[in-house]
Amino acid sequence: MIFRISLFIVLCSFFACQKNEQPSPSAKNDSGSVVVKFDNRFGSTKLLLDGTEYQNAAGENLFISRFDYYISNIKLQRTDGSFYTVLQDSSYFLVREDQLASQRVTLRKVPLGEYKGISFTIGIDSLRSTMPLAQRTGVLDPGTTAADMYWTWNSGYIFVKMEGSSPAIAADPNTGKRNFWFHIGGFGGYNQRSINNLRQVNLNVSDGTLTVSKGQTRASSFHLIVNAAKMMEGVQKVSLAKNPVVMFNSFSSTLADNYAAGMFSLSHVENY
Amino acid sequence: MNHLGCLMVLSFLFFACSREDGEKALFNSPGHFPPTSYDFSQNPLTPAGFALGKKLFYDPILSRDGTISCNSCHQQASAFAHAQHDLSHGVDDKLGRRNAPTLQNLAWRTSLGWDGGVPHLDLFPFDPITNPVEMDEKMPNVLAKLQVHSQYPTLFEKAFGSKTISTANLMKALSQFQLMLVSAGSRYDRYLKGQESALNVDEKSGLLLFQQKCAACHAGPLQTDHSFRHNGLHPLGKDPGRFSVTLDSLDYLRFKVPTLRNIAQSGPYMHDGRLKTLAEVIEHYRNGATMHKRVDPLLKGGIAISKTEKNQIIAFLRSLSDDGFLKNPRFLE
Repeated sequence: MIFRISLFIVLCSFFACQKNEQPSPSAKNDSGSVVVKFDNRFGSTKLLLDGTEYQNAAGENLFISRFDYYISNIKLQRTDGSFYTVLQDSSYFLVREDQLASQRVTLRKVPLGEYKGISFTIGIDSLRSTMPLAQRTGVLDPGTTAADMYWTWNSGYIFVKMEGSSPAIAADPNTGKRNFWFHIGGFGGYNQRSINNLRQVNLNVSDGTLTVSKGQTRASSFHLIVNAAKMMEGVQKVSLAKNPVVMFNSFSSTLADNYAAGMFSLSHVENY
Repeated sequence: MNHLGCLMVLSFLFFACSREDGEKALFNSPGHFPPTSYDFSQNPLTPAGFALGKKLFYDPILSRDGTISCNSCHQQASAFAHAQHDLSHGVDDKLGRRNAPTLQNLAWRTSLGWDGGVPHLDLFPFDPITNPVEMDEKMPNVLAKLQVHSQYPTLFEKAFGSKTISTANLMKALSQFQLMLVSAGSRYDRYLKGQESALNVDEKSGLLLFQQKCAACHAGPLQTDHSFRHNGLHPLGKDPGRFSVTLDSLDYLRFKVPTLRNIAQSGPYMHDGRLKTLAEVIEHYRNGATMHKRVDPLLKGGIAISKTEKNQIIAFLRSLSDDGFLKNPRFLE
C-alpha cells in the first residue's frame, strides 16, 4: 500500500515536472519555456530557517525564521541586446524560503533564441498594486496567498519580508524575545507621493548564453543566488540592535537599496 | 451543444438585464450631490449583491472568535458610527486607537480611514477584519468559513454567478451594501432643493455662519473637501495620523476632514472620540490659545464664534440629521 502511494506520488511528481519543463504544445514550436531558480543563501552557505546561526556584516549573530520576496515584470535579454518581456499577467512570483516549489519559476512561451541576461523588479509595480482585486489573484490575492504579504491599513504589498532574532537585540520587556522584522514595501503612494521601494535588478550571464530551442526535453534555466545577508550590507551596514523593526518608514529605503545592490546574482545557466 | 449555447446566451441576457434594472432601482445619486468617486462599472449593484453584503456586514463570522461584526462598531441609529464609544471595540474587549467613523455616502469618498490609508472601498474591509484590536481574523480563514457555510456559497452564486467565494467577490458584496448607505434626505437637503421652510430662522443663520466659518474644510453638500488637516488637538497617544501613510512630515498629526451628515447622532467626536458634544467641538475651534502649534493655517488663532452664533451653528448641524436614513428598514439586519 505504502509502495503504491509512493509510486503514485513519484508518478505525479514526474508528470508535474514534465508539464513544467516541456515546451508548451500550444506554442507551435516557435517558443519554449525557461526556468528561473532562486537559491537562497546567507553569505556563502545555504539559508536555513531551522535555527542555524549566521553573522551579519555588523558582526551580530542572528537566526532567520522567514525570508519571502516578490519578483515581477521579468524581461530576458537576447544576445543582440534586445529584450523579450514576459507577458505581464504571467510575470508575478512570490518566492518563499519555506516553500521549495516557489523557488523554481517557469516562464512559458519564451521565443526561441539565445539569451544573455535576465532583469526583473523586486516587488509589485504601482499599476498592479492599484488594480481592482479581480485582477489580483493567485500570488497577488490579499485574501489568500498574499494575505501575509499585504498591508491592510496602508493598502499595498510587502515586497520583501525577513524575520528572525538576534542576541544583539535588546529583549522585549513584555515577551523577553529579541526578534527583528524587516517588512519592506511601498510603491510610491496612491494619490499622494510616498516612499518608493521598487527596485530593478539586471543580471547578465558571465559565460555563455541560455538557449531556448526546438525539441528541448527540459527547459533551460537561469540559476540565481539570493544572498539574504545583503539586506544588511549591500550599500550600508545595518545593525539589528539599532533597527530591529523596519517596516513602512523612511529607513526601509536603505534596506531596499541594500537588496537591490547585489542580493541577487546570476550563478550560471543550464542548457538542454 | 446548441441548446447549451442558447441557454448560456439567454441566461447572460437575463442576468445582464436584471443587473442593469437592479442598479437603476438600487442606487440613485442625489441631484444636488457631486459626481460619485466609486467606479460602479467594476461592481454593478444588484439586489442579490446588496442582500449578501448586508448579511456579511451583520455577521460576526468575519471575526476570529465570532463575536464582532462590522455592525458592532457601525450601527445604523448613529449613521453607522458607534454611539457613546470614543474608540473602536474589538475581540477580547480590545480598544482601537481611533473613533469608528460614520458609514454614509461612501460612493463619494476619495479615501477611507481617518488617515486615508485605503484608497478604495473594496480594499477597506481587509483592515478591520485583520486588525488585532478589531476582528483579529486572517483573510484565508474568513474565506474558508464562508465557503463551508450552509448559505453563503449559494448567496455568492446568486450575486456573482459562482459558488466559489473569491476575495474580490467578498469585498464587492460588502461594498454593495455600504454604497447603498446614502443619506440625502435631511431638512438641509430639502432646503437645498428649494424648500425654504425646511430650516427655521436659527438654522438658516447657522447655515450662513457655517458657510463663513467652517465650509472652507467642511465644503459642499457632503461637508468635506476630502483633505487631511491638523485640527489643533494635542496628541493623546502616539497616533501620527496621515504621516503613517505618506511619511511626509507635513502630514504629521493630520486626519481626514469628516462629513458632518447625521452629526447629532454620531458622537463622540474627533478622530479619537475625545469630545462628547457638539458644543465642546465648537469650543475647541473657538479657542485658538489651546491649539497645538502645528494646527492648520485656517484654524490658527481659533475661529471667532459668539455664544449666540455657537448655538445657531449647532442648530444648523442638527438639521443635517436624516431620519429616513437612520431608520431605513432596508439597512436593518
